[in-house]
Amino acid sequence: MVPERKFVFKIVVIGDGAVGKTSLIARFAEKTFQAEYKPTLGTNIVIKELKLENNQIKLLLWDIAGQAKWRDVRHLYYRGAQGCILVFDVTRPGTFESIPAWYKDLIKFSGDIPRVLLANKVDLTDIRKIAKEQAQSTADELEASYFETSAKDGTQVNDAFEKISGLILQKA
Amino acid sequence: MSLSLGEPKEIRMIVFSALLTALHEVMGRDGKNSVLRFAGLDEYINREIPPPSIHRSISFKTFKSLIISMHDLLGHGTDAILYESGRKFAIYLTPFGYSLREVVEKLEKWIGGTWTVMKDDDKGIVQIKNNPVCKGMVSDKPTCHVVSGALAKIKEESTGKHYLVKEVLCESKGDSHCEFYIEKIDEAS
Repeated sequence: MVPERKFVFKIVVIGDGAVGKTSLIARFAEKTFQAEYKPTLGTNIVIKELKLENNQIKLLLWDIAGQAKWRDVRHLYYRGAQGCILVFDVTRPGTFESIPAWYKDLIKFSGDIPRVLLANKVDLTDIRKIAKEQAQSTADELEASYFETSAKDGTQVNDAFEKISGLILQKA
Repeated sequence: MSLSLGEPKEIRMIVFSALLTALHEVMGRDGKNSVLRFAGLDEYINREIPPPSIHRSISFKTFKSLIISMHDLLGHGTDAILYESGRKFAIYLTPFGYSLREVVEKLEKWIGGTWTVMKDDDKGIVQIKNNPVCKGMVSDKPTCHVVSGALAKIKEESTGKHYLVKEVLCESKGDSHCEFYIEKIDEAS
């Protein structure tokens, strides 16, 4: 039997303000959802343990403030990251358009690390503005795995976090 | 990293206060709260940072919990955040204009350990014996990045030049003392 291995992975979660980064992490780590929006100030770090194959993984999930006022210190948060979750809100096209800029900003400091792209708030079908094909195309350009998520009802949230963990594990 | 308390000591509140203020500035309110939560120091979460005082103290255990939490959470794969926090820490610890030797004397009084400035010019050396910052930590690499950042800022504020500090020996990796090389950065390069 292969002995259990232990890892600690740092994953940064980035994207514009109010796209649901904090809610996605809360859904994954605590199985909760809070409708009220409270902007993250700086970065919030959440720890979640995960068992993947025969590996015990401790995830340090860095929920990074999306507001411009944190731009000057954000590069410090990117350093040492082993994986990245890029998030946009399917009801706000501007948050989708800024994804390439977020990615470019990240890789200057983190290097080429595994990444996934999350189209969040897919439960809001009536006001959705970004089509799946459009988002998938951007994910392909960024060589990122793509997930359609809802922090509110939990759609594909666990899958996305497990995918990024698996991708990092492959490189470990 | 594990905590081995050894002799219980107290740390001056001014040090704890400056460290929390630096953390707040570099990591934001939520980042500071994450570190405090991980350290088990819930009583300081979402509260005013205690006012700096050289007459009041906190326990060494509280100080170490904060330092270890900073290392475990913020030091993963990088020393950049800890170094930057050290630079901010120096700003909140002492007003500008003090020399390296003067600040080191204060640090010895407020934190403990034996601090010695071996050399103080464009290439300086500072040694710390029984360094409370890394006391009880076990690592294969130097761990006192907060001290490195602080020494760099102290030197910069007293000279107006830019410095880089590298810890070359560290008690956490079994060396007899911690040793820091302070080197002026050549602005032209």
